[in-house]
Amino acid sequence: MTPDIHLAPIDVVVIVAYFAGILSFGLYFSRFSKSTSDFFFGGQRFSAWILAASMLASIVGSYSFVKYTDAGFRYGLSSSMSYLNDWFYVPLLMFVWIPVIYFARVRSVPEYFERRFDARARLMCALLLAVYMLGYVGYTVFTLGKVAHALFGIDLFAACAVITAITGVYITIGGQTAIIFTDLAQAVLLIVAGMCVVVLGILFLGDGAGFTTGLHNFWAYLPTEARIPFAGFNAPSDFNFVGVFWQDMSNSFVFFFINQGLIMRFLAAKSMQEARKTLLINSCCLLPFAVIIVGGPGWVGNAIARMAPESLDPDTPGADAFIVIAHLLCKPGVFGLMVAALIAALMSTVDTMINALSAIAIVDVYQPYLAPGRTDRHYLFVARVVSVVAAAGGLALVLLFDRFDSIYEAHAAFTAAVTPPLAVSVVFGVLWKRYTPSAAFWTMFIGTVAAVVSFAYPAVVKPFMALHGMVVTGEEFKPSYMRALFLLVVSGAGGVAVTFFTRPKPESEIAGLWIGSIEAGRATFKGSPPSDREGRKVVTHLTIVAAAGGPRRDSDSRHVVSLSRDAMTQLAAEPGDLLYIADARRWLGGVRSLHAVADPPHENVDGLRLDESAVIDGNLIARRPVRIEKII
Amino acid sequence: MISAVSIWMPLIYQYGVGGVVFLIGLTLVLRSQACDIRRRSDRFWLFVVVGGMALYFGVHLAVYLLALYVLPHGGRGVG
Repeated sequence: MTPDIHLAPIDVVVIVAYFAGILSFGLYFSRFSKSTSDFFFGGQRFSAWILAASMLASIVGSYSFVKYTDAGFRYGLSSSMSYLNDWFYVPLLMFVWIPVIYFARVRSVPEYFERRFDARARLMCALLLAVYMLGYVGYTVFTLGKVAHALFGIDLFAACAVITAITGVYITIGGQTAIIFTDLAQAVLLIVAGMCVVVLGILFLGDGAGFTTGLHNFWAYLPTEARIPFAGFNAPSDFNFVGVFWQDMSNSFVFFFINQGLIMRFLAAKSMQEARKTLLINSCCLLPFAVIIVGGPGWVGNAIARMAPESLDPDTPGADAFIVIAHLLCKPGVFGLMVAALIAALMSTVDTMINALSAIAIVDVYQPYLAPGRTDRHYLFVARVVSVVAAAGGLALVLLFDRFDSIYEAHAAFTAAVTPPLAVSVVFGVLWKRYTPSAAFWTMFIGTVAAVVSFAYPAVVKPFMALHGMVVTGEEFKPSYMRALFLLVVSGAGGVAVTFFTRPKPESEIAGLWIGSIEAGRATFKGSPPSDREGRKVVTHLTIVAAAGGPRRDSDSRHVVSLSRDAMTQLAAEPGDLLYIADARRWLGGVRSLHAVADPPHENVDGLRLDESAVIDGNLIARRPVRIEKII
Repeated sequence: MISAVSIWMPLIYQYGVGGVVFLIGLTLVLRSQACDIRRRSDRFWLFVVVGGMALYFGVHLAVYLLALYVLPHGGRGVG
């Protein structure tokens, strides 16, 4: 039974204050969005810490709180599985995929598909990706709307519409820069709120005897199987280890390799090394936190329901577990903060997806096919219009998801159908030089058809389930988890078969786009041979010079600046090297910064000489010192 | 009572099958020189990648040992 839960007036004040604050925050940072590059990628200027934190907020959606608290409440620590099994493909992500997309200067994954394969593969990829992300927007909005509707009596569609409208405002106006900074703020709230419930839960379990006793009781009341960090190997059918393992092998892969929202965070980094640091901070430091944030309330709830069933009904519906546990543990005001955290989780996921959808619509469809050669201002305007349309589209999908029996079913319905073919085509494309453009297209097509077939005839998944000892008959037959493995195998087999009967692209046309040509990608990125000599960072002041004949730019339209001979020596830089110039205040995270190419040194003692357009483009302040480092 | 196989099988599968995926990836990046160990920064990131895998395994193993051998009779507390 779900207890009667009401918002106290102070809770409402906290939620309204939160909404107002986050909207103001997003609008403030919208002034840093001047071009499509800023709108989609934040100008490729940010530090790892800020990107990793905002990435965490994008990964943790409101559905995460609902889904993982539910799993934690019913099964214990095994709810952490999905967050802690992503390390296996980090070698490929860190040494291949991040360098390839960063150095290739692609603006979207479909754009990579055109350069690595052809226009047909790009369109297919864009289509699948758009369906995936629009589905994610609708699903995430739907999840929170469902909670609001069930517990507070708010009309489902009205709740979703208000949340989508507020999120849409700051994305439409602010773009990626606004998203990165609002997500940073929301990440802080998520961490505080999740940890708050866990700590209060431990204190509750201490029964007045303190935190240490509470911790002891938490562990003591959990049965052994709830303490194990993995579910049972192949049972129960709705939550077992091997099913989650394979579903995640595809879903997590797509999240880090293909999900345009996260890819754009890597591309927003000031350098490739910083993109790697973003991944490291996220995977090693923040994801373990995320496990506790989203699963921890369920874990303490599990122990509380055993110690004090009169306070927390062990039969509480899983979908309500987070709100019920938070309501039990939090005083008025703090409970408002929890609800705000749920909303923050939703907004920070939805904003990323809507912006990413907009990027794909402009970069992969509108600009190349519908309106090539228009001004950047025009594309920026259309990007904002698309953001509004995408928000409305996601909202419309709420009605579709509402027809499913559960949020799990709704989630599985779209991710299982879309992610495996994309994952296979990216892996083959980046690792296998022989993999052909036709094979990439047919990999995605065959995989999508196979997904449709597996929904019509679920029996095709049975061999993969039987191989792992899972139940394949009666009501316990639930193919949704292992459908991912089925589609990975079918897509892969299709891709391999087509490759051997079709012609690959010449090696010269895919330089920098596969594992054996990373060095070529580095050289293309820089525009000259890379320099690996390591120097030190330099702090100096700006000297603005009037540029005769207009702003000084190189052939790639990058600003050209000059430093003193001594500074160039300290940086170990040569003329033509790529420099990163940022306001010396590190806590700004790169919001005031730009990339520029080094000119031959000037003869003054120190100072960075640049023209005014560079100062404006980098949002630099003339009287503030800057920190300079050599990028490549 | 859950069996020892049921308890330990997920950990073995996770780091067995997952470990194979990890090692294939590592082998490919080293053989293709996408990770060039002559470069200092690449050596650092290689150490990070291998260390991260060891860290995840260590944490999982530690939780297993805590689950099985610290307060092994779960379901009851003090007070």
